[in-house]
Amino acid sequence: MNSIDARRLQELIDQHGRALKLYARQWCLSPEDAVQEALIDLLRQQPVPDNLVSWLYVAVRRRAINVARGETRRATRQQHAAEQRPRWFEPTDDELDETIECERLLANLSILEREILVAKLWGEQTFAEIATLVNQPVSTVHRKYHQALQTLQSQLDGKTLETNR
Amino acid sequence: MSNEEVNDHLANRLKQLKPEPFLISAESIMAAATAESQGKAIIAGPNVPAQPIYGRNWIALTAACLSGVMVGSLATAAWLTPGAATAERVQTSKSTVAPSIPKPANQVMDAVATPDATKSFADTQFKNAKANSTKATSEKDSRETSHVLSSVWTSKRLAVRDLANRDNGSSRSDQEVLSVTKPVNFSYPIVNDCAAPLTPNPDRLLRELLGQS
Repeated sequence: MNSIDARRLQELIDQHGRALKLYARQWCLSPEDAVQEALIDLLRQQPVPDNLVSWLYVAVRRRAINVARGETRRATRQQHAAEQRPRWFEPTDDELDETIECERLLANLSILEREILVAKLWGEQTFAEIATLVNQPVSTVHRKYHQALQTLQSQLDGKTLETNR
Repeated sequence: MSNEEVNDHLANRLKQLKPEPFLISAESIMAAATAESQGKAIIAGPNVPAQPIYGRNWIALTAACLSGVMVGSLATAAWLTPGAATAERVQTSKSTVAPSIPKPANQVMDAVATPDATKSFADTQFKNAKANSTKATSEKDSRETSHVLSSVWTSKRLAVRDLANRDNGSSRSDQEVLSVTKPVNFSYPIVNDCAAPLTPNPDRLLRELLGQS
């Protein structure tokens, strides 16, 4: 493929935009910026990367970390933004409590665990792809993934996270 | 149930939570990429079609926006930042925005230093911005203000301060100077309540700046 046209780009956005945005949000408060910049980077790639989605995750990660650095430098403003930050998930009326709870629980995980969980669950990346993404052995990624789920499960004990509606 | 089964069950439940959508269109991103490759930004007002602009006008627009003069029209032009997404989110119902930074802000100050009509305009707006900044500080300190209001003013104040620092030879990065102008929960009514001097016809002003008057 020589270049990406608008139709292909829109397909990528439709299929992966939400997950990429959520992934970027693990680092920064302006995830759309990180994703948009990554997509612009993608349009500049010649030739087009073989595995577009994996490439995008790497690019979004880099962009999100850069965005986060800028946000850190503006600590005061970041505080304002944090108080008004948008939700990580798009809640329906009856799922609002669950999404808030999920955000809170995810936020308590380490950045590596969160990153792996988001890439796996919502990004649908393989453990091998995530290992490349986070520069860790596959075994570590696998272990961290299950560790994160166990941590969440232990925090959920006695509570409900009912999403099967 | 084994640990693995418990984990799988939880994972399946989590997967059903739908992440927030990414709302920027492919068309906007492609336009931004094209403009950026040409060293331009793309702006649009409620009644002004999206189009590329160059650094000097971009500066004037930024200065105008900092001063509050153009706040009414611009959700877009106003906040010409790398945060294209922010502007688009604010203005989705009115226009498509795909701004990107045309060139770093050193071009901004270069442009302001150039003796022409744009410079004059930008200088005037910059002075207004400083005045508004001072006023905003006193307002904010003297009484409670909403998060939205304070965020808008903070954005302005920081931007003004950073531009002033740059004028004094500060080493703050270009990226930083630009990005602080990004609004947080920007809102017309609240900005209007700040007594920002809105131009009677912001679209006309925007057209003039774009050389379309």
